[in-house]
Amino acid sequence: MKLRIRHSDYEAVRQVAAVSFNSPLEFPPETGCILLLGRNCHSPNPSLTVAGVVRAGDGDFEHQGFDALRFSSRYLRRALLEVRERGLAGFLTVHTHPMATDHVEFSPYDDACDPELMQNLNELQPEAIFGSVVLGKVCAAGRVWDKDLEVFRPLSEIVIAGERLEKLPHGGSTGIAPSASAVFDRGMALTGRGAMAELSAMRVGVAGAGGTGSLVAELLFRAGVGEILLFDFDVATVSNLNRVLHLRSQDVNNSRRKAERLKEVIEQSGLSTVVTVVSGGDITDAAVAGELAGCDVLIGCVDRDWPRLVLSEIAFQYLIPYIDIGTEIGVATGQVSSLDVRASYVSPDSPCLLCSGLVDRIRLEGYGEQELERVLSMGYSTDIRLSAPAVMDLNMKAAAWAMLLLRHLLQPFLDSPLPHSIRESITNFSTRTRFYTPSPACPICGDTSRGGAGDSYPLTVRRIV
Amino acid sequence: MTQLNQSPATAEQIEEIWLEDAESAIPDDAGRAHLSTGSLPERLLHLRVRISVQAWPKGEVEHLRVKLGDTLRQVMYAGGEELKRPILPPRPAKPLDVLRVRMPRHEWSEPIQDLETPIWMALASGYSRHFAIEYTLAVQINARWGVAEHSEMTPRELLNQFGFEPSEYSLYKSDGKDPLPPDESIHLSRGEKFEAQKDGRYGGAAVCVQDSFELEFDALAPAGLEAVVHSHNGQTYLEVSNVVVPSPPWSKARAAILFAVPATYPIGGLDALYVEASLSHSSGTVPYQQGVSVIAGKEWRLISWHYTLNRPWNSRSDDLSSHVEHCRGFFMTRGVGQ
Repeated sequence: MKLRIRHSDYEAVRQVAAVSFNSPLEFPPETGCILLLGRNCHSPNPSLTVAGVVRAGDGDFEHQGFDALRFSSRYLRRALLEVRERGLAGFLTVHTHPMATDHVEFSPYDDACDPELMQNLNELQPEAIFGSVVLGKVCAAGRVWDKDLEVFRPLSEIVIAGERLEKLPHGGSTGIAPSASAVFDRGMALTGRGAMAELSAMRVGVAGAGGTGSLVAELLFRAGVGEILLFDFDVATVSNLNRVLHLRSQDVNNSRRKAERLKEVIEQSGLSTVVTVVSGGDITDAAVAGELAGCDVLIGCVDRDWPRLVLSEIAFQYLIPYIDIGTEIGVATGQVSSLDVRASYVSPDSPCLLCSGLVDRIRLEGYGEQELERVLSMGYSTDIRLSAPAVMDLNMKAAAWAMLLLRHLLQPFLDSPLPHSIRESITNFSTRTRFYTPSPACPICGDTSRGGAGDSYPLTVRRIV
Repeated sequence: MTQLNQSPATAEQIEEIWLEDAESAIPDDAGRAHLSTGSLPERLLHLRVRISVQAWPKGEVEHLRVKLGDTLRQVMYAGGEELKRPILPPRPAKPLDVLRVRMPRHEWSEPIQDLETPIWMALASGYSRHFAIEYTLAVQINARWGVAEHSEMTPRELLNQFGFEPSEYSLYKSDGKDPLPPDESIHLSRGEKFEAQKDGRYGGAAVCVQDSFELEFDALAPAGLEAVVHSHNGQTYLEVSNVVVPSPPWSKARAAILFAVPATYPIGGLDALYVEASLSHSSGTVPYQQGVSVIAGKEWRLISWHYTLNRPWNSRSDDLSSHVEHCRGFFMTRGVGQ
């Protein structure tokens, strides 16, 4: 089981742990906190998500010494009541081993005492998940209690999502990263061996397999991504041939799904990337959206607001980094007035696409699908549809931004902090970065109970009754 | 009691007469005749017999009908519903409430132990049709149900009764955020729910305290030392009685001592001791006394008697026995030497 934590929560944990690791004392004290959990029940890629940090207050540790730490029952109870109130999945206790630097493991004392606590917590909240994390100075180890077998199961990874996409060295040093095959040798300067290893184990969800999505998929498999999940329900049409990579007129004649054609080409390349075409493909459908939660990174190549909204919600609830790209050709009085490329990065700590204005609530609200079609045909809405002008050369720039941002998340080379949006204007040769302020009233990033809540928070999707 | 054994035993007649008359004995063909086989014909199993039920010992009597094939446990739960006081704990757990039956002289039977007996068999064996439910002070802690020993109990007593170690668990009202004061009595109501929440113990350098402490504790008795563990305000103490001390100058030849055992024992070492307040010294003052405390319901004098810099506590070689010897040094040095 994987644990995902957003960068700001991880920083909060490290701040708490500073007393153990940044202290001038010869024997600094142990300390700790509690991580509230959300649950992502995706099969076969389930994970736990950190939905909040419960810091200790006065009297919350009954004993705090260099060799031992005792959480009071009142502190544990506070976390338990919050789990009940918010309908969360459970919690993990976190404690430090101040003498551990780059390798840490649970002590025999932890092993002796923890099972009884876990049994007690499960007796109080039978369906919940409980466990513990031990922190070393630059590493961590974690485990969750299997109440049926009465054993601990180790957390497989601790992933920190934010400015970067990091994996905390689990237990100890991750050792020497496996070497990239000769295929990727020329990319090593940008994506080194460690990042390559991450990339090759990564499931990347690409929403949209059209003009930009097909290019993104191409870049991903040539970068060595482990698995690409394609979400697209469209079949090939004549108007796609100008910009959807690998699409042939015979695919149009056979009304073939664009995603299926991409899968075929990528698999014929002989590289190791696995491609999965997600059945249905429409991410506004509940079952399909659930598949997004099994990805490690999401790339949105869609031109509609509703799918972007769903991707934003997934990013916040499941702590999955989301890169959204788009292009726009502005035409006024028969002339090109603008050629714009945009790449937005939605991390669990940054404003969502609603707050950055890319998803328009007015466009989302008020219209059913059928009505929206009617409104669009009458020219009353600005929602971009396939009839909007689009060319491959412009799409390529957007796809390139997506791939570069993903590489940066694994091995940074761009300035930080990452802007929330990068906009390139071709007509006047300029690139601008934008930072937005999240709205406290935003139902996605302004809702503090949503971040990391996982399955316990409903998505704005169609549900098949 | 009406005897209907002579009547022709058709099901219809049984239904009309015997089933409704709570004072009637069971007819032979519906009961005793089948006792030897242990089973009743299917057509009789579903007949509903009228019985009475009341809260034991003197509650209001209510009547209800139960199937002849029902077990006494089912009869008991049906009776509880009729009385509008459900049996605790809810099914399928074993009831903590008690079922009794009225005996021929109107006295109540002892609690019925075998609740799995079908009522037809119980009636055929001579039970009357008048039952009583003795409602107990059943309370719930976490998933466990039990009968509280008293209606006024402290959280510590309740935890102990339910098998929770009070030094590790605190008692909360269901969904309460503050622990109930461990030594303040609370009034218990039937069906009341509590939650026992454990503390969380972790330690990087600490070894397995429990194993080490328990092994050493077990070794005290063969060495002639009587020892008892106390838990007071979350701190573990060990009381060792019958420690031989020189008398005079001490007022007794054997004394009880007490010392705190840290959570991190044995890495965290033992230090200092308490002596029972009733022990006095011929000088009139107890040397090195720091103060008097009440621990585990008894008065103790705290003695400032420590390991030295040259001879500090050594977790590898020192243990509970050696610490008792170290404490005896106080009585010897301060006693004999003075």
